Amino acid sequence: MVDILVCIKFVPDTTAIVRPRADGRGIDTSGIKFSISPYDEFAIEEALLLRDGLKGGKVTVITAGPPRSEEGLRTALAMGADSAIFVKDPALENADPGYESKVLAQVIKGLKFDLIFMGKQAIDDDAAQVPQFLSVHLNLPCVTMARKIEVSPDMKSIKVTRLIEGGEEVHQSALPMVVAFGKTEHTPRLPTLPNIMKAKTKPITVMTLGQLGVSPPPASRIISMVSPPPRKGVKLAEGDTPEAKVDNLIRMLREEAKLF
Amino acid sequence: MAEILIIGESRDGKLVKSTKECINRAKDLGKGYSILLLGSGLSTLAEETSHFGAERVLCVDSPLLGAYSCEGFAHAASTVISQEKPKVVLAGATSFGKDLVPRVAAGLNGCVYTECTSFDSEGDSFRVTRPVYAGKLYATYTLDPGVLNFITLRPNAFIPAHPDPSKRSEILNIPVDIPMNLLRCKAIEVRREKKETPELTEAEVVVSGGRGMKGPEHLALVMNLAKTLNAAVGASRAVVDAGWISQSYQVGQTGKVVSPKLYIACGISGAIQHLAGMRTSRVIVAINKDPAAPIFKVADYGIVGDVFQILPILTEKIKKLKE
Repeated sequence: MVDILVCIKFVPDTTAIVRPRADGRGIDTSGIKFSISPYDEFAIEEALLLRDGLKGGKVTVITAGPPRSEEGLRTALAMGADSAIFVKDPALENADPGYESKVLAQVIKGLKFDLIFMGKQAIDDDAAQVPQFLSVHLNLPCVTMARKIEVSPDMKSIKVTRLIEGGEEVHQSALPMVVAFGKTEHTPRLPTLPNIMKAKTKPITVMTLGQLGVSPPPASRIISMVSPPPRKGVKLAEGDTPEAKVDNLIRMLREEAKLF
Repeated sequence: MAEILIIGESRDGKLVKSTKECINRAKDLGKGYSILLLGSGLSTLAEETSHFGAERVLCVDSPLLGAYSCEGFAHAASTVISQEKPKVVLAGATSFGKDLVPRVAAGLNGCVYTECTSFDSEGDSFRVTRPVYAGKLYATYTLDPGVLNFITLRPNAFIPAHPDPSKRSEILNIPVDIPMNLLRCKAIEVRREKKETPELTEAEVVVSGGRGMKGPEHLALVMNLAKTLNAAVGASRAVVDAGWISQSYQVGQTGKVVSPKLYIACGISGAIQHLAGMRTSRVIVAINKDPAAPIFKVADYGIVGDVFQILPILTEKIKKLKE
């Protein structure tokens, strides 16, 4: 039996076109499609595989976010998670990672668990720090950029393989711990229609920041948010033959881009 | 005490490029900086590091830091930072820096700015810019002077410092007691692929192949061009998911983020996930037979043509140019 908590974030989809809000301190969320952050999907998949491989246990998904985040929890339940906890508060829109980790720690402190899984970063603020902050708040070890896990049969230790420059690093840790996943070898499953129906009746525990006893988030330190300057546009290397095209490309790279 | 403390990183006993990029940035800001080294058997590395103009090179040299552990390294770094009291702690946004820095910051109630692409000062205040939403937007932050700030710099976004052998910083060994029971989690094995090409995130030039290469056997065309340019090899997600090449080569949202001087995309359509990993490259070249491929929207130069014809010619011509 294994108890796994999976922290997820519901964020603008990879394919969404994001524009800065007029005040430049956040994005204009109108008309944007939201999804579970892709690395969190890997974390959910790994949790489900571990639970099912050990023939028993429980996967609980947790998120702290504005009301729309419930849809992310329902998707995770439809993927196969057993229950969910939702810290629902409009104030959590654009909350900074330090604050998010405090909220998550407050939720988790009262829970029983063997492992905490999450993505190595959420693809909205790309902060890549909630796993480490959370692990410090809970006094647990943490491995980030995980690609593969192997739990010992006695459930006392785990081997986590993480990607490093030019290779891999294998960590061994005692349980419980926090594992923050990058892309793993297992493509996250898509919810099937029967499972989507089933997920509608799975329990979601809802709480507010006030009920958790956490003060509201501090003001953002962002002073501006802008789209990157547009690239100049492509110059195609023309030519009647492949060779002529290559000659033209090399000429442009040398003369204009000052390369080679 | 130096205003900036740089957490140094080494690989095979040498300072990595991203640490040198941090050093140069601190130097350009005109701020005093010290460099912290963590590990086991650091004397040679400390000597190398002493030629980079730091006020001091601080070493925590312990056999317990021979293998990386988030807890051991964070404990050692926090101890030194608490003594030194810098305003800013700086490190490269590598797999080491990105793992360690938030762990240290959390213990010291600090604030972290990850993968910054600019880091500036105005008098006593600091300001950083970093890509958010996978590079679709850039956010600028003013640092809170009331907390300890931690900044990681995106590899290759800054110019590396060069050593000056005529100068030598003071090297100071700082004893830190690392209790054995602190290390609940540590690296027990490090596997590095023997590659003839440079590391993807550090390379000046990256040549990537996509589905247009039609099969793993044809990736040799990409690798040959990369070798000629002393470039790293990259790949699109489609190619990695199809099993043509390992995950460590993937450029893009669920892979690595690169910002080389030159990025050459071969047979890559340019899905948004891919653009997230390479759009900050200085010059982007696309070779694709489909003139409507989205990659041409971000490319600076391009050839509409067959990669199987273009790549061998391009490789040969560059080889001649280099001779």
